[in-house]
Amino acid sequence: MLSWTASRCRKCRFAMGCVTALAVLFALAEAYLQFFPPRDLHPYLGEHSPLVGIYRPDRAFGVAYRSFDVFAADNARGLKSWLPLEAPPDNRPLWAMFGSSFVHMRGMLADTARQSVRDHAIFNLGRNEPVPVRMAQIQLLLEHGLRPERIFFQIMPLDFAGLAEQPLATYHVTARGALTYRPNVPDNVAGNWIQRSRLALTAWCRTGLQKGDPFVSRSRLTVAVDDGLMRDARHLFGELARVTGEHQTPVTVILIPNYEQIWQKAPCGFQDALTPMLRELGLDVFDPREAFMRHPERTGLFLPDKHFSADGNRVLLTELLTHERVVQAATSKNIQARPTSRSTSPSKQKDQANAKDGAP
Amino acid sequence: MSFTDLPFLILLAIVYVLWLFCRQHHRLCATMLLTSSLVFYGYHQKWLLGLLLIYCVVDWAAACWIHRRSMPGLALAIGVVFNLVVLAYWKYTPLVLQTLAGFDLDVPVPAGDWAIPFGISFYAFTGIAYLVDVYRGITPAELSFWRYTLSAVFFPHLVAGPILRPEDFLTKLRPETMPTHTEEPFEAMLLLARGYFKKTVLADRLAIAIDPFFAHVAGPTTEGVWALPFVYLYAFQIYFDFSGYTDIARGLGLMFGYRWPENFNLPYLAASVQDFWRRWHMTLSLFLKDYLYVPLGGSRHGWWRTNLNLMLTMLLGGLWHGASWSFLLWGGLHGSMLVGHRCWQRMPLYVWLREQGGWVRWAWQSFCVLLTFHGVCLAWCFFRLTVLSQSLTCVSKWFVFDPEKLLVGGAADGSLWLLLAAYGVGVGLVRAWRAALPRPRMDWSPWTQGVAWGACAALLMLAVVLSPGGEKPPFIYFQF
Repeated sequence: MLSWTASRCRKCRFAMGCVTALAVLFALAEAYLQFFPPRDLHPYLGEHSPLVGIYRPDRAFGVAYRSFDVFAADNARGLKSWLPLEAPPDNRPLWAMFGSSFVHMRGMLADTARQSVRDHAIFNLGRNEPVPVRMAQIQLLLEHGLRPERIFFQIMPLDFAGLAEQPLATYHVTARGALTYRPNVPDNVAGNWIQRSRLALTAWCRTGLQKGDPFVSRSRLTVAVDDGLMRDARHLFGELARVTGEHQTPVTVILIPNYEQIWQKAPCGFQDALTPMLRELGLDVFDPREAFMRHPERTGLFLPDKHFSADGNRVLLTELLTHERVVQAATSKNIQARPTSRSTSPSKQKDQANAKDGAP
Repeated sequence: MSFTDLPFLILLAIVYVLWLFCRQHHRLCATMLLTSSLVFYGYHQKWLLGLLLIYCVVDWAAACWIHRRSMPGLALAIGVVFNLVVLAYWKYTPLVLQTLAGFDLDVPVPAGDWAIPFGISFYAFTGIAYLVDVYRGITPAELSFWRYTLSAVFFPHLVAGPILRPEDFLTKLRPETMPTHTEEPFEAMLLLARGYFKKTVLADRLAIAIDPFFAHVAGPTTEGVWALPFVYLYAFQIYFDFSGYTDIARGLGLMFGYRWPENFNLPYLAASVQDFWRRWHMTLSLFLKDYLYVPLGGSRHGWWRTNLNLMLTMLLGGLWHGASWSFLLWGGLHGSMLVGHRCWQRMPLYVWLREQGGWVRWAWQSFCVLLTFHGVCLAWCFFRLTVLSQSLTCVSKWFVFDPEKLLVGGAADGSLWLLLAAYGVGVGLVRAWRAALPRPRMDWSPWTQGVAWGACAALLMLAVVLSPGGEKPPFIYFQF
């Protein structure tokens, strides 16, 4: 009996020692993290985040610039030769391009168009931003006098990866102007604890479960677009259609196929899911995947980093110009039939789509 | 595979569970450990297994030949030359061809993706040590090919050491000596926890903070930036990275019942470069001493010859690290500092200072530690930056003092310095606490044992939680 009690006592003391050490070290770590949270935690700290930015919350796109001035300062290089927007130095009709590095990087679509399309001026800011921010840029530019003949809005599966991981509902723009996200935590005591303790939040972030949708697979985006992402996409593009419609500026959404789709014949579920939705919203859609897939020298279309090569960009631009001619023709026909209408109604877009489908 | 990869942790868990089941059956246990080691090494590049096995076949056959005592010198020469030639081919071909191309000779320069089989330097050295020891009669030749292969390729030490002698490991793989229980579970756990903490929390965070500076050291973005804080941080990064690896390797060894030699002993507290090499990568230092410095003549042929031998040993030790002239320069700098220290030891002032006591001695020792640390940091500039012009730029930036750029970028991150200071204080406290505790560990009170185990568990958990997110930097010594 005595030895059993002694043994139990020893075990208790061992356990107490264990718990004491754990508690002391965890308390030290908690104190350290309160003062110095790791960088990957910053976007999940809400108002306590040390991040600072130039944004404000926005109903339409989730995030918008605080003012045109901060936007102009942030994009000083891209805007330098276009100010003032109401009276640009170049008198040619303007094509404004927004998108990822496939548009902005040196030698990509905007550069290629600038060299080949002499009858239009090509506007681009030269920087890749998340999809909602690109849309906020368009709104701000249109409101401040930019008058493009057409807006080209490029997207590809990878552009939606961020939105898939952090849906619009998780966006939180802090008082200091930084775009942060509400961490996804369980709705119970553990979740409460995660929100109160930096150590627990860090551990939670290490699992990746803090993301709005923690189980998003970037490679699966080419296969299918899930309902949540589709809802956000519909909302964003609906708002884009509204904003551009108010300024009577037509939009062509360029659905660029990625390397895996062209070269490894990965499914094109992304394009297939977005195209009908975009057309329904009244946006013109340009999907050049066929031109790439039937190209005889597909190896030469890509750079080692999977961006388009000069040849790839030439193919893209040629197809885009062909598409534009068809759209212009269809638009003129519609204008002749209904000369008062300039907005892009869904039925008109369907006509355009039909015209495109019949195009060579 | 790397020790920080998830597939490795899964492999380790499976291997350990299997080992617990089959540890009483010598053959089964050896087969299982050998198979898991081959999976570990060939996980990303299967062709490496062919190279590894060729090494094992040649070293094992050469040792058996030496054992037969028929022209053992020839067998040793063939074995050593094979190890060195294959090592030299993989490591130095790009350097040699690029150097020849620099002299306008028409040679094909290999592309930038020339991949050195990881760990080749370590298993080549282990093979040479084995052959020389068999030749010298220090250890008998292992007649079982599979047992020898297991000793050479066992995954904890395969890629970055510690460099093991036959008596450290091979002799413990025989049926009568093969361990059947985990040696010192607490120490194994402590080493694993400390190793992972050093790597993921300290070394990786330091890497993220300082890599941008070293990547643009000669560019306009680092114009006027004081380099010394970055070099300090690099000195700690490489220490935590490599000693973390060794701790994990030794911890894994203990898990399977093998105790391997220590590789580090607070090297930045060394009071001379000679002392530094007794505390830094100790198994390599011993290897170079026993298999290079002593055969060259060691200190047996007078003062000048000893200096020459030291210099040659350090130059070759530098070249062993990589195919770049800057590694040779790194070795040369250490060789020069060692020779300089030997000269200094002959001076009367040195003898006088050594004989002092009290605060004079303390101040002198502190000065020596600081001086040695800065000498080692100077050499690290040539180790970290393998383009000579960049190394020289980095050294020149030690003496740039623009008040606005004294502490910028990663060097201005107070959390890093605090973390380093906290770790230093923690190590000091733990050492003092352990010194005050009774030996052996069995005599510790249950509460003390609980504290020790709890601290290990917390350290291991914090190693996961506090590691920087995103892509993990690889172990620095994997490239050697």
